[in-house]
Parts: sequence; C-alpha cells; structure tokens
Amino acid sequence: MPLLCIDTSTSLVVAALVDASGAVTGSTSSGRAQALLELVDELLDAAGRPELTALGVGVGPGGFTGVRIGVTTARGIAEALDIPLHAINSLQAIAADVATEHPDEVVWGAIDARRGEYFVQPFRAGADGIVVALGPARAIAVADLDDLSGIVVATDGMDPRALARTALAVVAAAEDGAGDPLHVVPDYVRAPDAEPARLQLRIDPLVLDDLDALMRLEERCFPAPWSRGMYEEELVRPANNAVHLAARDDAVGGRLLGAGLASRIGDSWHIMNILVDPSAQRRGIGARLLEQLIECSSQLGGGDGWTLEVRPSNTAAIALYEAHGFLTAGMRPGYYAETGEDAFVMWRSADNPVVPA
Amino acid sequence: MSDRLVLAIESSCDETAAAVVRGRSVLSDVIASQAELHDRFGGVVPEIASRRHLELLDVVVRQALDDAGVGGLRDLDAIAVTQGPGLVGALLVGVAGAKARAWATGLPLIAVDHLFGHVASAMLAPDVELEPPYLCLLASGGHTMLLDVDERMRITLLGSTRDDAAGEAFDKGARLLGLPMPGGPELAALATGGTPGAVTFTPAMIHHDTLDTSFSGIKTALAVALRERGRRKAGAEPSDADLAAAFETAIVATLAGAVRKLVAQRGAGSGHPQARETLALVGGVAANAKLRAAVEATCRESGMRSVATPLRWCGDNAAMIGVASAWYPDRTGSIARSLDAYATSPLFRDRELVPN
Repeated sequence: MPLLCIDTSTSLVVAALVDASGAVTGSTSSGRAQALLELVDELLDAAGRPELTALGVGVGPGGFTGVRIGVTTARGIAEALDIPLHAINSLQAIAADVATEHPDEVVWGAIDARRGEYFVQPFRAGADGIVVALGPARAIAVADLDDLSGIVVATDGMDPRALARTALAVVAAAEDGAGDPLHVVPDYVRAPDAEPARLQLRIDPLVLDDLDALMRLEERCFPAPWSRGMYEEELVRPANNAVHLAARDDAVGGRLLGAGLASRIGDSWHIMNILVDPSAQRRGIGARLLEQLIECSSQLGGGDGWTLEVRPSNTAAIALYEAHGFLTAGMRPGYYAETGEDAFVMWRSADNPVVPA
Repeated sequence: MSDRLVLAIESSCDETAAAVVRGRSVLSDVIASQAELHDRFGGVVPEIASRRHLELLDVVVRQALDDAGVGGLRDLDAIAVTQGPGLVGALLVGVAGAKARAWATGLPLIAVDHLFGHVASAMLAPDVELEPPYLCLLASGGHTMLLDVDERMRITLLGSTRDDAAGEAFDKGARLLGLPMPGGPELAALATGGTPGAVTFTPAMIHHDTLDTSFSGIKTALAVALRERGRRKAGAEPSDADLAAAFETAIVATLAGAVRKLVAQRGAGSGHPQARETLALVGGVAANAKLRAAVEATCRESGMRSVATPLRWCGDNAAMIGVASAWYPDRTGSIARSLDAYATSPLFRDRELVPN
C-alpha cells in the first residue's frame, strides 16, 4: 500500500503518504516546486522509508510550470521504481472535504489561475461519500466566483489528507493495469500563450522558378514524392489546359506553403495534386487552393467536371473534397504503386454548383 | 578518464534528448525534435516546448536505455542533465525528470552547462584524441563565441557576436529567402545551386584586435539585394541560389576571419603564454560544410590542428552532455534534490565557466 501523493499546482507544495496500515501523514511547504523532493524525502524519512508501491500526482489545473514539475517528478519516480502512477484532479482534492461534509450540495474547487482568473470545477458527494465531478474544469474571472451557485472552496493549497483521500478514491476506482506513468499528463485547461504566426496568404501562379521550393515542399509532405521531372512536365503544359497555383506566405518572404495542380484531360479536369506544408496544415490553405483550382479551371471551360484520386487513408483530404461537392465514384485497386494502396476516385460534376459551407 | 555509465538528459530548447554514454563512447543517442511544431509560430514558443518536453521525456529516456542495452536505471553510475542556459520552463522538465530518477535510485546527479556540453562535443570526433587545452569556435542558433579551454576544462570567453548569432543569421536569411526552418541547412542546400561570385556581400569588418563578430550587416545586404531584384523584375537575376551562396560565403568568411585572428593571438606560434595547438569547431552551425572546410584550411595555414564535432552531434543532443559530465562533480543529497535550472550561462555573466 505505501502510496505517495504529491501536488504542486498551487503555491503550496503538498506531499502525503498513506502507509501499509492506511494511516496518512502529510507535509506542506511554501517553497518552490523545485524543492518538492526535499519535502518528499523528509516525509519518507519520518515514516521510516517504506518501499513505495504506488504514486499519485495532482495534475492541476494550476500554474503551468508548477504542475509540470510535479507531474514530471512523479513520472520520473514511477519510471525509476517501476510502480503505477495515478492522476489526481487538484480541484477535486481541494473540494473533496467540504463536498463530503455537505452531501448532495454542489461544491466548487477553485485555484488561483492568475491574470484575474480562477480555475473552477463543480463536484458533489453522494450519500456513499464518493465525490464526482459535475462538469469540466474551466477558467473564469475572479468577479464571476460570486455567481457560482453552491459552495466555493478557494483555498491556496490543500490539506495533504484530502490529497491522500482523493488519491485513494482514484486508486480504488482504477481498473487493473491502470497507472502507466506515460498516460499521466497535466490538465492545463488553458491553451499555451501563443498564436500561430499570422499568415499573409497569397495565391498566385506556380511557375518553373518555384521548382526548388516545390521539391522541398513535396519531400516534406509525402513519403513517396513526385519527381522533379513529373512536376516539370506538369508546369510546362499549355496554359489553356492546366492550372498551377502556389500558396505563399508574405509574412515570411513569400515562402511557398502549398501548391495545387489541375490538368484538363479529355473533357474533364483532373486535380493532379494539392499539397500543404505540414507546419501550415489545418489552416484552410488546402481549401483555398482547391477553390481557386475549381474557379480558374471553370473560367477555362469546366467541361464535364472535376475528378481526382485520393488515398482512402487520407481522411482529412476526403473530408475537404466532400465539403467541396466531390462524391466517391469508384475505386482503383493498387493505384499507389509504392504502397499497393487502393485509390478512391472522386468526382464533382460541372452541373453541381456546390458552394462550400 | 572516467568510464562511468551515464544517462544524460537535454531539454534546453526544442529538442528532447537522452543518451547513454560510457566515457566518450556513445551507447545510445535519442533526439526528438519539435522543430516542425514550432515552425508555424515563426520561432520556438516556450510554453509549447515545455509541454512537449513533458510528453516526450520519459519515452525518449526509455528508448535511450533500451538502445544502450541497459536493463534498468540501477545499472547506471550517474544521471547527467542540462541545467542551463536555455528556456527555463523547458530545462525544468529535464531537470525534474533527472532529479526524480536520481532520487529514486540513489544515483548521483550531474548538472552540466549546455555550452560546456557543446565545447566538449568535439571529443566525440572519432579517431581524434581531443584533450584540453584547446581553442574553440562555438557557433549555434543562440551563440557565436570564441573560447579558450584550459587543461582543466575551464572555459574563458574571448569574443562573441555583437548582434545576431551565426545560426540566427542563417535563420533570418532563410526567412528572407522564403525557406522553411531550420534555415541553416535549407539555405546551405539552396546555395549549392548558386554561381559562386555572382553576387558578393562584404563580411563585416570589426576593427582592431577584438575577437567579436557581427552578422547584421550581411543580413541587411541580403534584404537590400532581394528588394532591388524585386524592382528590376526582368530575368530575376541574381537567382535565389546566387543570393544564398553569397550570404553563406559572407557568414563563413566572417567566422573564418575570427578564427584566423584567434589563432594569431592564441594559437601555435603566437607567443602567447597559454598558446594552444588545437582548435575545436562546435555547435549547430558547425554542421555547415563550407564552414568546416574554411576553419580546417585556416588552421592548417597556421600550423594548428582542427577538430570538428561529428555532424550528428553539432545540434543540441544529450550525448555531448554525457561526455561533458565527466568534468563535473557528482551532486547528492539535499543539493541534488533542490537543484534548479538557470537561464543564463556563467559564460555570459562572468566570461568564465568552471565545471563545478
């Protein structure tokens, strides 16, 4: 049983030990999270250094760096001793005692999130004494604390005994085989304070001068890239039978972030390739390229419509095409020679004037 | 020389790395790069880097132990970790992970300066028995330093950049040319297609006997050349590759010029009381082929031996931290348990770095 619990999500460093008999000892320190092991060491010394069999760690929410030190430390100890590690909700540890004293009432755990906000989460203890979360943790303005209905527990730090009791409840509820340290990660609640660099996206013709940049892009995008020769061949096609577009980011010197190529073959347009730099994906660049390919080829005479092949495994691309009116029309077995993968054939008819949602 | 079995951990910037070394033998070497994660933000975002380090650290350490055939942590003799300089939030992940393992196993902890690690990385060169003392050019994304390394691996800063670091200059030049990050290798690759001498950027001249360097002028020259070309349009000459080649040549010439001055002042035949016979080229920019060749040639002219860190250990890695740890004392007890990370190296503050 010896179970060690630690929490560094508040400005208090908290450690608790549940010994083999179930007795709990605990200790707190107002020092920095960097000194967590000092506190743990003293606690274990006082208990005669029992051999630990499990660990619990408060995963926040709380100060990012503090929570990270607690979780990294706990994971490291669990890895070194090869013992299970359990995640403890720090807000629950704060709210647990009050919730148990007031069964069936809503009790909010609250931790100072700085910048004028608190992390809060509602809990309730049933008649059986088991505390359950009634919703997710979130950040709210300090002024809004008063509007929460129920009891709000906003102490800085927590009672080590409450931390231990919360950990014991987690351990009791854990399934066999639970406790892989690699699965224990902080609950940050807030996204990191960073915005992706703003794109200054420009779509314009892809030209032979782009070949070097295009080949670098191709290698970053696909495991079995098109050769330089294949692109060269595409780029010199007659302008009335081909559309070649580049997506460039003017925020960084017009860097090539994506490319789209379509060719008229017979009476229909074939979307030959759409590629977007992995670092710039999921930002709508592929959609912009596809829309422009369709627009530009329509102006050249759309013919019967547009067709393309796509890997069944490329669900992101399939979703993009479906959102732009493409339907799966068939399958080409073993189309991708390198992997033997089949290809879906997708088709959008010229008389299907789909406006993307 | 120590031949202890050491697990080393490095997390100072955007690489999560672990290695197992015995003396100078690298038994395993694992690096998880976050470069692509940060590319879209136009630079390393500390909070994102720290979160990723936490997710990766234990996986990377497990892999390093497995690759080295180490059954468990208890088979090790010590655990080494980068203490600084770097992003403190990022460093703290490595430091906390190393401290936890040392505490749980009773192993000694060794706290290593990241720059010291780079300086020691030249000892990983195969077939070269590099021993201190030596002179050193450390050129990386964050630093451009000319250093003296004495018999006991005490490092003295003799010169540094007045503006951008060499690697930073490469990154900024690459951005101007619209290349993805990391800019250095991309720019060097582009430069291979350029016509040498089609364009020339004059390397910055730093007067007198100072060993300082400057790169901002070269960066401005590239920006101006790109703007002028944009005005002319016709023919678009010079090409991107020509400009990249000129840019790379100017940076390499600046660094080689600094090495030449350093060798004249402190190298073999300089008459300096602590003249050194070897120069080591280390740091991420040391992976640049033209720089390696230029430094080698400069040293040869002056009768100096030159040693460059093997390519795979030029960038941030844990193997160099493991090798460097041999010069540092073990930390145990309360000192190990309360170890903190630091953002600024003593090499900046005191112009001196002593492994203690």
